[in-house]
Parts: sequence; C-alpha cells; structure tokens
Amino acid sequence: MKKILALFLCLMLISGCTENGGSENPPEVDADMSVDVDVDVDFTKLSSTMVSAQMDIIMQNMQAYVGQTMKIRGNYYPLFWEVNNEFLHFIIIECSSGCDKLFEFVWNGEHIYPDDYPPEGTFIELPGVFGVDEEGFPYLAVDDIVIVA
Amino acid sequence: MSFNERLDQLVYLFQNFAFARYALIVGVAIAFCSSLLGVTLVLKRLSFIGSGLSHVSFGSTTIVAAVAMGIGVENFQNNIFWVLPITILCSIWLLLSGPHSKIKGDSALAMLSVGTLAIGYLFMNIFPRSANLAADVCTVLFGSTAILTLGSKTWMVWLCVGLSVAVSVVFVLFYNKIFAITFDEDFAAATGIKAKVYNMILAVIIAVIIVLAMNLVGALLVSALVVFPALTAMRVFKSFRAVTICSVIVSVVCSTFGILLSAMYDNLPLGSVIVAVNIAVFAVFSIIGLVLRRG
Repeated sequence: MKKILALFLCLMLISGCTENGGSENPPEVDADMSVDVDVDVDFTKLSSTMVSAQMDIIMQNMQAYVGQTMKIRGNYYPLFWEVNNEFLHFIIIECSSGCDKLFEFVWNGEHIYPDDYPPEGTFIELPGVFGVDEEGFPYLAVDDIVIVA
Repeated sequence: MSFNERLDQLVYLFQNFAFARYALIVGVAIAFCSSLLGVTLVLKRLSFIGSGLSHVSFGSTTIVAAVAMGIGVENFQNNIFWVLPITILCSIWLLLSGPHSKIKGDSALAMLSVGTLAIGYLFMNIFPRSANLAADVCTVLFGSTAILTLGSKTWMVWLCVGLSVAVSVVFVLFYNKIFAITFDEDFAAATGIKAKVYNMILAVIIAVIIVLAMNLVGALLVSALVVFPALTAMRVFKSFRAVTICSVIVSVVCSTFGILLSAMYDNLPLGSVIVAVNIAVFAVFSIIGLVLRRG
C-alpha cells in the first residue's frame, strides 16, 4: 500500500473522482489509429524523452495549462483511496529515465467501476482537458476512454 | 512507426513545443563553446578536469538546494548563480596550484571529484526534492531531460546562450595567447606572456563551460562532450587551427544529431545519445585518418 501511495505521489494526487451510474464500455481502436481530435498538447506524437520533459514543464507551471486539451496514451491503473472510500483512476505514461508518470483522469458523466472501465493495465488513449483541483493537484477531464488494441 | 512518421513526429515537436526549439538552440551553443576548449584541455593533459568540475557542480547544486529548503525557500530554481562561482573557484584552485602545493594536481582532482560526488548524492538522499530520487539522480548525472526543461525558464535559456557566446568571444580574442600557453607555457612566460593570468582565464572559461554542459549531457558525461570532438579532429588534422575548427563542427553536428534522435525514438536519454554519436564519429574519423596516413 505504501508503495502504491509513493507511486501515486510521484506526480499527482486526488481530485473529486467519484463512482457514478452506468454507461457504455469504452470504444476500441487499432494501435496505429488515434482518436482524430485536434489538441493543444498531443503526447502520443512525442518520444518518451520528450513526454518526460513536457510533463515536467507542465508540473512546474500547471496554471498556464489549465483548460488546454491534451491527448495521452498509457496503461490504465485504478487505485482504491481508503480515505474517501472511492476509486481513483490513473493512466501510467511511459517516460524515459525509468520514471513512468502517473496522471489522474476524471471520466465525465456517470460511470461505474469496474463495469464501465477497462481492466487494469489496459493500454488506453485519453483526449481530455487539463485541470487543477482546489488542492492544487492536476487531472485530465475526459469524455471518453479509448482502448488502443 | 515508419521513418516518415518519425520525421512527422519531429516536425510536430519543433513546430508546437517551444522547449524543444530552446533545447536545440542551447545545445548547439553549448556544444560550440565546449569544443573550443576541448583542444586545449586535451593538449594540456587536463581531459579529466571536466569530470572533476562537473562533480563539484553536482555537489554544490544539491548543497545549495538543501540550504534553500532549510531556510524555507520553496521551489528554488536559481542555483546557477551559486554553483557557477563555486565551480569557478575550484577550477582556479585546481589549475593554478603549483608544483609546491601539498596536494598535487591529480590527487587534488581525484579528492575533489569523488568527495563532491559523494556529498552531492548524500544530500540528495537526506533532502530529496521529489519522491523519485533515482530519476532525479539519473537526470542530473546523465542529463536526460535537464536541457529540455530549461525552456520553461526563458531567462535561463538566454543566460546559457549568452555565456556560450561570451566564452567563444574570449577564446577568439585571446586565441594566440591560449595557443602559446597550451603548447609551451614556460616559453610563453619567457616571451612576456602572463601565463598565470591566461591560465586563470582558462580556468574560469572551463568552469563556465562545465556548468553549462552539465545541462546537456549530465555530470558524468561532461568530459566526453569536451574531449571527444577534439580527439576526433586530431585523427585527421594536425594544425591547432584546423583541429579547433573541425572539433567545433563535429561537436555541433553530433549534439544536434543526438537531440534529433532522442526526439524521434523512445528510450533514448539525451546525454548518452550525444556521447554515443560522438563515439561513432570518432571511429569514422579514426578510419579516415588511418587511410590518409597509409595513402
């Protein structure tokens, strides 16, 4: 548990992520395809070293990126947060130097874990809007989770 | 991903991300000025001073950051204004300690090098700046993203470029004197050149270059950035001027190529890639030199 918390604190922390009502499962696409969405910061088009650098830059100046659209790919990771008795949802982004980044996302609408969410470890793509919660922790607000086959 | 897709990826990166453009500008500037001094250092048998001074820089960076945390300064980013003078002082001490000093040159270098590296790592463990210490250490020692995140502080980019230009201007202005003290310091002193003064200028320039170059390739690989271009040029050229010019070209091309490779392919840390490209070019020039000598 301590290891999970340490990994969690490596980048981001909690925001108002709650379990909601049911909805359809995430759509699935081929690995070569990408959701055709114009975004401000497209991490899927960067190498792991550049992803690492851009993430560090965002963390150093989060307010400048609030409201910007981003697209990220990585492995889905749910975490049960005992304090609030709820599940939080993260995407693990592969970066360089052995420091994969953990990025919290919030799926807009009513969705139930685990029914609506993909299995842990699924490689997903998230186009969303970057935000910072009241406690100063960043998250990505997404309308859809795309499973990359 | 095909090569064309990777090229598109590269174009997307440089069109949309200022940090990548800044990294390329600063990388080229640092490669340019570091290669100028590399020839002098190699000929004066001071190749390893870069390593020693980079460890001093690493150690002082962590100590300064720890002191800043201790006195309550949050998110301390301006450590170059502390690290640079400390590194300059150590450089002057190393280069100007004469034959009668109690601790001779190579021993002083060894002592300073490993001592500051150990203290730096110790302070990073006692006063960690993030939860992932291993990644922080790797970034500082091998320079994987340091130059890329430099772009978030525009003043730092222009400071690096300014210092690189200043070093280059000093080298060009004092080219003849540096040439003289490189090949025969005693003869240069006998002809009236103030060798001690120019050695001090050299010590300051070396320290500035090392602190800058740490951003590009990290503390452990700085010597490679300084030494490899000079050694590569010496495989083919013989005159001081030709070796210097070739060294600059090799350094700039290798650094640029390294940055582009790191931007195109995954899991290629910037510092290591630049050094690997330097090694490959050294091998090629060695073969060319062998062929030219036999021909």
